[in-house]
Amino acid sequence: MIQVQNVTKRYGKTLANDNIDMTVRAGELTVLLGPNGAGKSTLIKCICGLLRFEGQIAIAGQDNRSMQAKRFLGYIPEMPAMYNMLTVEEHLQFIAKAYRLEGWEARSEELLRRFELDDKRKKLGQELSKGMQQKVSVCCALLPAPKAIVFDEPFVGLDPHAIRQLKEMMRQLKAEGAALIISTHLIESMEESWDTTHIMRAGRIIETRPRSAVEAGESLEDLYFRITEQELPPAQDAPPPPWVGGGAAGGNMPVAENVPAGPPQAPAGGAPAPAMPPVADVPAAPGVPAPPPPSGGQEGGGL
Amino acid sequence: MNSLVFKLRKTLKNRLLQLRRKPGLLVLYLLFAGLITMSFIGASSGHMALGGNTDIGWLKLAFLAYLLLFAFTSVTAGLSTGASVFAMADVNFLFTAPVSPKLVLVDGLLQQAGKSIFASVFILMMGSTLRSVWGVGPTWLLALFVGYVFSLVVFQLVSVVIYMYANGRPGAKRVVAVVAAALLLPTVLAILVPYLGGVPIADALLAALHGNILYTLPVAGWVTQGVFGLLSGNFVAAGLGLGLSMLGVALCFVLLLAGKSDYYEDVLVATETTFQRQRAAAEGNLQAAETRRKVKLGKNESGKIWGWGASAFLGKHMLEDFRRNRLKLLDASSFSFILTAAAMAFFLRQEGGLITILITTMMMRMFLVGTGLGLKELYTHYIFMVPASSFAKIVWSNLELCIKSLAESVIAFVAAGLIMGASAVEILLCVVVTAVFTVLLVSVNLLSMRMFASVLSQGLLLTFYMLFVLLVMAPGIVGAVLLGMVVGGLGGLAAGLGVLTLWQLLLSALFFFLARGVLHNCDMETAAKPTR
Repeated sequence: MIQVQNVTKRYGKTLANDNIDMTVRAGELTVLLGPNGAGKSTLIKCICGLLRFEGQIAIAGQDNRSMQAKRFLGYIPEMPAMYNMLTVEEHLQFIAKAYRLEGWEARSEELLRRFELDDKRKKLGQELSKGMQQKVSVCCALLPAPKAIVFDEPFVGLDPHAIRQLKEMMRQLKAEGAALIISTHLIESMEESWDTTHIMRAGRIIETRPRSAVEAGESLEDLYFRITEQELPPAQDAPPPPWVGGGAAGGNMPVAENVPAGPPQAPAGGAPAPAMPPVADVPAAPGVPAPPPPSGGQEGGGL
Repeated sequence: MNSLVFKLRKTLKNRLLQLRRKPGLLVLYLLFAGLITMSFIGASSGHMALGGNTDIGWLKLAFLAYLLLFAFTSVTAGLSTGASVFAMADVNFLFTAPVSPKLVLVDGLLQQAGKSIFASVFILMMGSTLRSVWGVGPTWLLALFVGYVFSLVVFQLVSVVIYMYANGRPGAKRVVAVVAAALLLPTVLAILVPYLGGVPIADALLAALHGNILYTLPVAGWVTQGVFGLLSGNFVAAGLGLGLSMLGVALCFVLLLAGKSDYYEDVLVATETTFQRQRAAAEGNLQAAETRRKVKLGKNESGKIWGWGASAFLGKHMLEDFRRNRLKLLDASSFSFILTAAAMAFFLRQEGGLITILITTMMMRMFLVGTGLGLKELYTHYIFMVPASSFAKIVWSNLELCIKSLAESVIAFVAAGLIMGASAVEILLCVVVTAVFTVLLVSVNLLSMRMFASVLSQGLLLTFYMLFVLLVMAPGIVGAVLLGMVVGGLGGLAAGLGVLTLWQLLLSALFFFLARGVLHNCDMETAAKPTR
């Protein structure tokens, strides 16, 4: 359904996507993972025809900039793009008219109901919170019933109910045969439903792994960190973090207050539990989620 | 103190170093520097085509009107979310640091002064006009500029003070609103009373402007009296005006620093609001970056978008315009356009005046073309993704600007024509020329997108854009002038403007053709380009 071949995108001298190949079949949910600046959003925008690029991208066998391809394609941007002076229902009406949809009203009602927007239908875009705007953005993208849907950080700003609804809808779309690409930093939100993952870094796909090729018991998050941390310099070469003993500031830095300590360790030898978690447990940056619970249990769609 | 000096020094240094990485910005600065130099040359030795002896009171009125506009904005901002001379980085770093709030305030005011200088540069470019109309030189240019910048800074301060004392207190807000309106009363009466007594409005206005009534208008009137007193050698008026202005600043400082333990809380909302808008604009979300007007929808007012396929973009734009603006299609930029034409008509009643207005409004149109919703549409993904032809989407999306421009031109030239006593044919021709010029500008915009996409910096693109428009229009203008001279009279004017219109239509058709498929060949616009 979505075929990306030799796609390269440059912003001036910056190489944002470097010779990317990727295929997403009908009924497949593909997760794009990677640190900030890996080139995920750029790739998504290329797929949606929002950016020029070198290479080929086809949607349902058609060039992604053709009208036929556009009829199949839906896009949920990271930043919800709403018009301040249109109401929620007018956004859907505008999409229906622009896409020349017939009999769209029932689907529109269903989308508004599912995302708890039915009482907000006469609210202007400027009156909605970011989360509400994101919900409208999702509804607008799904109204034409696209067969290839691209989500760029879709869960950001959504409330728990909307996250659950969106995850359920993704499962439903997948079951109905849609091809889905989801770029997200919330890896655990995709644990249940992903089929293939592409892990990106520095504009390239450094690993492609179907679910069937993942080691038993390994979560998507484990896989992500195993792949992305492989290429990091060896620990002895890296400067020690300040809370590791021997630093100028000593071994008891105030970071202890900010770092999730995790469950207290009780080593067999009866030695006192370490005050700080191992370095690998420390979140690298805000937004990178904490590791899943030790039981390996996934969150089961119950956010 | 050291930290603030360090910040100021580093900021200035980094701004300069930035120019090495952004040559487009450097070109733009050099262009502005060139224009300012030309303006000063024009102010000192330019030709006084319009006699240079128009009553200086009119210049005083224009200056005062600008200041009053900013005074109104600062009072309304103070009564709503407040204003701020600070950036979000100041809130995060300075407000939480052990630095005296007084010094932080001085730092904020210095930053604001810097911004105001940039916002006031347009005054420095009016040298030739000042000399031509009023016969005044570069000293006036500089003094008006300094007075204007000073007033902008003071108005920001006034806004913060109003917010500090009126926020959350409806009674205080009413008092501020009533006092602000009452302060205008003496000046209004000073004009209105003689006018109702039979004095012509122009004479009544000039008498008020030359009198002492402006001292009753805080800041705007004081600065105006101070600057004009200084320039005309009336040092008593200058001393009084500037003295009162300084007292006003001192009073603001006292109220700000003594009224509460600190003012940080009072500038927080405005700083955050500004920051969110700037961030939204940088991310290309122009809708979120807009200043929002409260709109109350009627019961059956939702769900009426006209159009089908690509034409739905026009339906949407018209609906947005009608909701956003109190006067439907016309917005603030429309009023600046119409008022400029009317004001010029008032001063340029001699032969050829209408052509001068036509040229000025066409120049204005080059800047106003960015106010159309069609260009803003390029910052969202919908226009790229809707399954319709690229050309159809672009045309329907930009039609709103063309309709708006036509409406503005009709009102502006009918008003100007009536003031000047121009014939219906002349008015019609001017309307047609400016309306078609908008179509040409849209086509140039699309062509520049098609050619340069997102590679050039906005500054460089704007510079090229203006130069390009002037260049391609040149043959049409030359042809129109020659034909006009050969034929002569009203027939000559009609023939000249007709040629110009045809030339513009020809160019527009060519540029639309060259820009075909533009949506397939350009990147979705974002205000800030991603690094990856």
